[in-house]
Amino acid sequence: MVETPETTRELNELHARSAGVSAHDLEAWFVSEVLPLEPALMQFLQHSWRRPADLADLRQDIYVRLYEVAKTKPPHPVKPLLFTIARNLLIDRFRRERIIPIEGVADLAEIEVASDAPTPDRSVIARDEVRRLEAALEKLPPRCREAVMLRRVEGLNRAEIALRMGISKETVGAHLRDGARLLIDLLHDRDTP
Amino acid sequence: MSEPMQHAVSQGADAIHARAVEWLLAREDNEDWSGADQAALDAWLNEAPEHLLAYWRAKSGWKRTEVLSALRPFRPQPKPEPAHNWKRFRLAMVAASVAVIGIAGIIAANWKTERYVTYSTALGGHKTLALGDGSEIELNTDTVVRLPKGVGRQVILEKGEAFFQVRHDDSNPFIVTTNSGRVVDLGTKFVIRQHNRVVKVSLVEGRARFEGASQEGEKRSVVLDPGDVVLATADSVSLMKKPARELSNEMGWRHGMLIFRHKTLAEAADEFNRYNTEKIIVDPSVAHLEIRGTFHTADVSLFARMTEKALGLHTSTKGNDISITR
Repeated sequence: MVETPETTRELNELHARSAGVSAHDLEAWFVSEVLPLEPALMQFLQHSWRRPADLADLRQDIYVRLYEVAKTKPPHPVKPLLFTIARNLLIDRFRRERIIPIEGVADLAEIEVASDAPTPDRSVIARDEVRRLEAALEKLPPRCREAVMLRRVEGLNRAEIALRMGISKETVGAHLRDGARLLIDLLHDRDTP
Repeated sequence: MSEPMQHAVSQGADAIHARAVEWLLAREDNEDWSGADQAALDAWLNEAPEHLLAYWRAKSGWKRTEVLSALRPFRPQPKPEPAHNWKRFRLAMVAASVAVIGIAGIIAANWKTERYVTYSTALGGHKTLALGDGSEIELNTDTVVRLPKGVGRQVILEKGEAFFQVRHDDSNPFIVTTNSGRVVDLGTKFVIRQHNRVVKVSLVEGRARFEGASQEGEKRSVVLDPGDVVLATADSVSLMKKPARELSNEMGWRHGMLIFRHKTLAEAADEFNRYNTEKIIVDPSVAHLEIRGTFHTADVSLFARMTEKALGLHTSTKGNDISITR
């Protein structure tokens, strides 16, 4: 086990308390405290797990475990707990898949240091936001990007976008869905440009 | 945490993410999002924490692109493709036939610039301009607008207040220019008031884009949804949200009424003074008192009587001035 004793105690304490937290507060906590850690988490998972196709599922399971804890009381700070959960989950998976995680363990140790790296200052985040959005938009397929831009920058609805792009409303819908899906992932996963 | 938790992963994270995005877009797209729609969404969210978390994650990511639309420097729209040109021409022909009907008192045509015709209302005036393309402009008191004579839907609001009900056309946008920025219609009803270098745009229905005056060659643009109110000067733009009820009260003038809910005497007097030659002068000691009521825009005397009866104040008239004091 790579788990640190302090965090285990903290977890047990959290389980002991049972104050109800509103869905609204939970959402605010998840958005402002957990999601900004996603780039670091994904970096950690990438280093530790060899099948890239599994990463999104691993992230989802980690978030659910964290959420189960947070329903009682959202932890502050989140980072130590998040990475403890991530490590435990990976160890479960290693066992289940009967992998001897030689590489994984080495990486875990390495990432433990990386996970303590300071998160960027909020003002820096705000300053970089437009540049980051533009970089993410650049990565979308051209038609998806066009549909997303018409929606978000020009505020057009589906029918108006269809007219502008000369395609059907259904195709606009598909472009918007694909574009939004990719864009949201890009914005969360790769926060460092 | 020492025991591995049980996880029945029925669906992969990517599929759940895709579904969350679909919900998000459906909700945003659907102007008549009903209780049943919301119930269906809630049911999906409650089905599994995976769904809820994926939805929160998608929502916050999508929200970040909204910031982009508000802060992003204005970029010229892409050049129309050749296929659109003939349509544009046809629309230009329609616009060229812009006819103004039902206007009782056109005060003056603008001789300075040949391209525009000027329409205005006097103090207390109120008139509706019906344009050939189906759009309508309703002018409030003491208002001046300029309309292009021939081709084009680019209106200039010189001063005052007007309600715009625009027949939307993708390839020929309806644009209202003010002293501080302009409004580009995206399928809309909106009100613009221009007073002392401050422009106020209230979006009633549909969507429009407000483009602030250019600063150092850069424009700021904001897409407005119903209830959004923009206050802009030559060098600042601020955005707030107002409840539908408040916006509709502010548009009481369209029916010749002033509707005050939580207005101070000073604010109410300012409103009346926009419509009448008699001016209400409120003593500073009572300016902060709150008043409620609905009045005809011309009924200054009823307003004065009401302040006497309801608030126990004194009014005195001297020429065109009506003073309200303790």
